[in-house]
Amino acid sequence: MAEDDPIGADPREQGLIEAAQAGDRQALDALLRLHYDRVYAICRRMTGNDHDALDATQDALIALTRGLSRYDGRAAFSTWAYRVTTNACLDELRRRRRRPVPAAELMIDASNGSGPSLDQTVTDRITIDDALATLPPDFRAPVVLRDVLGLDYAEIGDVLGIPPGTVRSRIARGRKALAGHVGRNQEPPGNVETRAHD
Amino acid sequence: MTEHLSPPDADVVDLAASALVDGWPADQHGDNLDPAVLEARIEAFRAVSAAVATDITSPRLAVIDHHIEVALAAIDEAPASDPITLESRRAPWSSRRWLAVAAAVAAIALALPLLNSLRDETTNQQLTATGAADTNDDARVLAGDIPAEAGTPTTTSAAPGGSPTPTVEAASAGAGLGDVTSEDELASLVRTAAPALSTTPDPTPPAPSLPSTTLAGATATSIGPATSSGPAPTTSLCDATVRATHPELEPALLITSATLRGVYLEVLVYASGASATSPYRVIAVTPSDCQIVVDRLA
Repeated sequence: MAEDDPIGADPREQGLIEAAQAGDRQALDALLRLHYDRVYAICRRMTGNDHDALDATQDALIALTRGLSRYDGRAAFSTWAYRVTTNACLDELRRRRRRPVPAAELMIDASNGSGPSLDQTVTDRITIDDALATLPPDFRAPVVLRDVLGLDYAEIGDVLGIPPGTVRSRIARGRKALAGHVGRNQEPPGNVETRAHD
Repeated sequence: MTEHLSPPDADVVDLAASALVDGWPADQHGDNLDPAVLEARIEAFRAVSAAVATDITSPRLAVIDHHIEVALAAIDEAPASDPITLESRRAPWSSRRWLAVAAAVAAIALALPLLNSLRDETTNQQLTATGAADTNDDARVLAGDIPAEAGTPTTTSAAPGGSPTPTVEAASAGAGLGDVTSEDELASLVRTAAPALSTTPDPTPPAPSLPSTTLAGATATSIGPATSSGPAPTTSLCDATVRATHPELEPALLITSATLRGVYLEVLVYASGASATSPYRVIAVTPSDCQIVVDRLA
């Protein structure tokens, strides 16, 4: 999704953060809009369906708003924001465990005529959503942060509070598991002889 | 619910391929890997990465607007229990420390009358053993706690259960003022009973440990008929709450209960300090939140 990271490096964003912390609601509004797509993208991949993603996104935005006064600038704003968002998604997953799972979540925006066909898009999304759903959240999160947001291992480690080496291992293990779902028509990764652990 | 199984362990090929997909160099083991195997693994992982990174369609603008509107509104309605908000609203540590000290002082202030009353109880039991009279019994007879013809020792009375017990202990187990229909009636009951309480308990020369406010702040007394409202409270956190908002009040002379027009209330009786004809100030509160319902002289 994005290799560029405007968060924390953009002077305009820094101004928005400071103004929002000072109580400027317009600045807070702009700050939330600036990060909305990324927040939603994390939630969409973490939860695996649009409905839960919307709920988690709302919770994340509220948590960001309420916690903004605690952000002290020692870490990149993105690191803090993604951590809050990831936690909101994990909370949503925990809540979902206690309620029935919707039969299907296929709320595709049909008005988007560009790109692959709707059928292909639906198939891809079901495939990757189903595949990601098989991963435990602590493996899903680093994969999502890496592939959706393009964070490097150190940044992911900061967001999740784990060492970069663990991030690397979890991403490799996560991808290996996902490869069995995404590439069913391909040769699955071979058996292993040498194991690597977190 | 999807079952989450721990993913398979990653071998050196997985680690190297995954790192290469992410633009990182393979570690030292990478040089010894079979290039064809490594290339195939890289291909598989690239497909995975691309699938995960497939464009995600953001919600419609109206949904985004609504989300942000709700988030902005959450600033104003942050619940007190919210840990983030709570932390951000906390006073500096120095202020919290003062609050803790103040709470400790308040707790001690509440505990002292209780200790006094326990000491009084011991003294009263000693007095009973020597046959000393208790002028408080007149009021208790008037209020119905003690049968006039009972002829019991003056420092004992009948508890609701019927068994004789020492005076203060019986007072603690009392049933309160009973049902009243008006504030006037409540004040009248208090006025009738309180003088006797204020002269409790002992005709002997008063000792420093036997103040006239024997019951203050810690124990309730039974100065009315037994009611369905249950026993009078034996302690009152509301006493401290009331006095915090009315600093002119001394510690309560009497803590009891009454049911005013069907509402169970805790009744706190203080010295009014203002009028010889109305020496008491009666404050009745709801026990749950110490909200003052009645505040009048008696």
